[in-house]
Amino acid sequence: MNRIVWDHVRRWWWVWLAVNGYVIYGVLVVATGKDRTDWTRTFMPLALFLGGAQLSADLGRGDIPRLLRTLPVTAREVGRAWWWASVGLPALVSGVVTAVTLGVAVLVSRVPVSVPGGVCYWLTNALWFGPWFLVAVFSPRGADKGWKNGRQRMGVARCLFTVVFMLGMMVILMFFYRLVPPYSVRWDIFLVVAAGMSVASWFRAEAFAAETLGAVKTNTETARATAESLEVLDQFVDRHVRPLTGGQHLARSAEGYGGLRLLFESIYLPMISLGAFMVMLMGVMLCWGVRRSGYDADFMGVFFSFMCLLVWLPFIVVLPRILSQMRWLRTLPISSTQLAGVVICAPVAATLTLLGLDELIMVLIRSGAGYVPLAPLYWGCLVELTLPMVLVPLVVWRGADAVVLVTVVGLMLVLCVANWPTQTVTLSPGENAGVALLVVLGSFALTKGLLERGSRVYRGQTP
Amino acid sequence: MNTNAIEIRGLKKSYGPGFQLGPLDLDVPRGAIYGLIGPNGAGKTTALDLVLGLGKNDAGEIRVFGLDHGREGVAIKRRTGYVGPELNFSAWNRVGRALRFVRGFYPDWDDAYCAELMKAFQLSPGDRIATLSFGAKTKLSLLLALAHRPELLILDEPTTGLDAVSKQQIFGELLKVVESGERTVLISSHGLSDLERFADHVALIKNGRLMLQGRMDEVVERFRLADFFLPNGRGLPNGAALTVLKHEGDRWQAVLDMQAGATERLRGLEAQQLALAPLTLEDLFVALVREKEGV
Repeated sequence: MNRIVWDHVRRWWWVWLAVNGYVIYGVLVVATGKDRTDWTRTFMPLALFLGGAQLSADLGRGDIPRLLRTLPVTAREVGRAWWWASVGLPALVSGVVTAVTLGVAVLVSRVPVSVPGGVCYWLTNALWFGPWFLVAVFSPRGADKGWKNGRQRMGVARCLFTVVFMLGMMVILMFFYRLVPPYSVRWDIFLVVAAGMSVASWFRAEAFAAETLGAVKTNTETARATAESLEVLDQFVDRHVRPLTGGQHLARSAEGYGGLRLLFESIYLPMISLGAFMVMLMGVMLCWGVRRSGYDADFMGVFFSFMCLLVWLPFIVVLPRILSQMRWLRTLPISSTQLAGVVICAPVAATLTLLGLDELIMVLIRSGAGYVPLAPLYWGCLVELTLPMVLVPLVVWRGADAVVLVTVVGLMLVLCVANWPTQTVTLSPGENAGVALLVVLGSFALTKGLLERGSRVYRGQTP
Repeated sequence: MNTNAIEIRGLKKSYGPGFQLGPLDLDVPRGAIYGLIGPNGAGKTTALDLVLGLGKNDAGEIRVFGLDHGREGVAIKRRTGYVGPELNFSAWNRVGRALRFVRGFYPDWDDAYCAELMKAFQLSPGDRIATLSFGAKTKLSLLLALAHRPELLILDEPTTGLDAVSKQQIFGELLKVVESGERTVLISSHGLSDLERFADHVALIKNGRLMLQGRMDEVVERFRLADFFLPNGRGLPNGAALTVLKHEGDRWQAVLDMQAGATERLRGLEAQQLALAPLTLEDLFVALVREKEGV
């Protein structure tokens, strides 16, 4: 069991390093900061990056379970190893890091240090590892087709569970600053629920490991599982969104540009569908928060942080599917300029549409109550929202390798959570738009150059 | 009208210090089924990619139907179909979605022919791509390449991993495609016995260099497997006309290039009991590609 745990840590050491580095930052801000807006922004759900997320990545690739099947270990050992690697150890390590940070801060800091605040910061994060792991191991592996046999039933259960989990995370994010002493909400309920789910995940782990190791784990199975999970989104787009654009009845055009439009739509529509769902959900949360406690600058900060995540997530879910097929796309009769243009412009257009939707919701909710329309434009948001485009040439160049993953995590940490441009860069709306345009044009030029450079650049990147 | 579908002159492409393709000169006649063979890493896929316009060549010129990729890359691709082992359509989830997507790029897409191919390949629009077998995915790839009736078909190892029945089916469809004599097929494959039956031209690439090319029957006819004895422990270095395969004592086995005067050379060396046998393409490939045992 220990070998499996240490192997996990060795393979993902860079994530552990990055996340625990962020823990130091978060603990210091919460324990020594005065501004509650800062506190809110330090709340990055660590479990999104460490623990269950890595287990899901390992299971998605399929190599680790395939190897474990051949080794002399029991399902119980594997399940418990996965639990320790995903729940126990991340919580313990982040706890030690928190304790050391608080200790050093108490010794050297000239401002008062709130030890309960720091502990609360750690606890609020550490308790997410269990629920997130439970989400990752909730669905059975290798279930047969059909409602009765499990696959569809568990698919629905997984979706519901994920939605409930995401809602819970949003609530915590919105009210995080109220969990920090002096407490203004009863967070013992959260503590009990999260602890209960962590314990439940311990018992689920063994059964999950047995199902996983027993199921046929081939690349086809992995591809099938991925395709199934994304198909829900595709079916929704096909049935409800594409008819609105006329794409469903697309005739072949004389110039062959019908395909180009479909390619654009294949990126834009799923991003919009997924993003709009999340933005609306966030809007409901915001409405609820505003009704309960009135307009609060903290809400704006939280909303803005989350808005960036809402744009990132559709980008990360949708675009790699298209980019991983670059070799095939290059064989189609499209010039490198057109192809680079579509893979850059479609996500930019989707991002701007989502930004417009965000703005609409903000205006509707806060109309006449102090919200300055187009305020995000003054916060460097265009730069922040267009920076993901640099990932397009990066993925075209390298596929989904470790460098790309590190860049994604790094950018998300710096931009979405710490709101680096918002916090440190003061740009006028014009400058903001200018820098964003440069980012987009630079990404386009790089992508085009890479597409033309040689087929080896994007050869063998299929998942 | 140009009689060659593809003309390659002085083509060079390098990927760092480890690999260089060319200089390569190649002519693929219109209506030909042209087989490109070579060991792994020889540069076949790189050459096919450059013909299709995936990537820029470092030097030289490629003309497809007399067109240049720099200015008319899209026009070339519109007249070309491509099948390769690394293609992946899973983002489109269903066969029908992939078809609808590709169809939009080709003004001359033939829906009736597409339906005919779908029936022949036992595919249906509702099939989920992730659940297709390897062979069915290859057939889908071929279907997408064929349904716009391309003038040039570029096939990069299309039968790798397929069972004998699927191979026959794919080659059968390809033969139908080229029977009019107007379509050209450029194919790279490790299935040399299939290629020998199917292709009418062949070129062998090794380490990025063209080792031989020509009509299939002429190439196979040109080489012979020779079994002979050299008296008095005499050595026999490899040369342009002769490739030594093995020797035990005085007994030697070698591949002879009959056009380069190999038999005259052996006579000069006083070779005895010379027996010549015809070679298959596979024998020839193994003989020319493997490390030479010259003495």
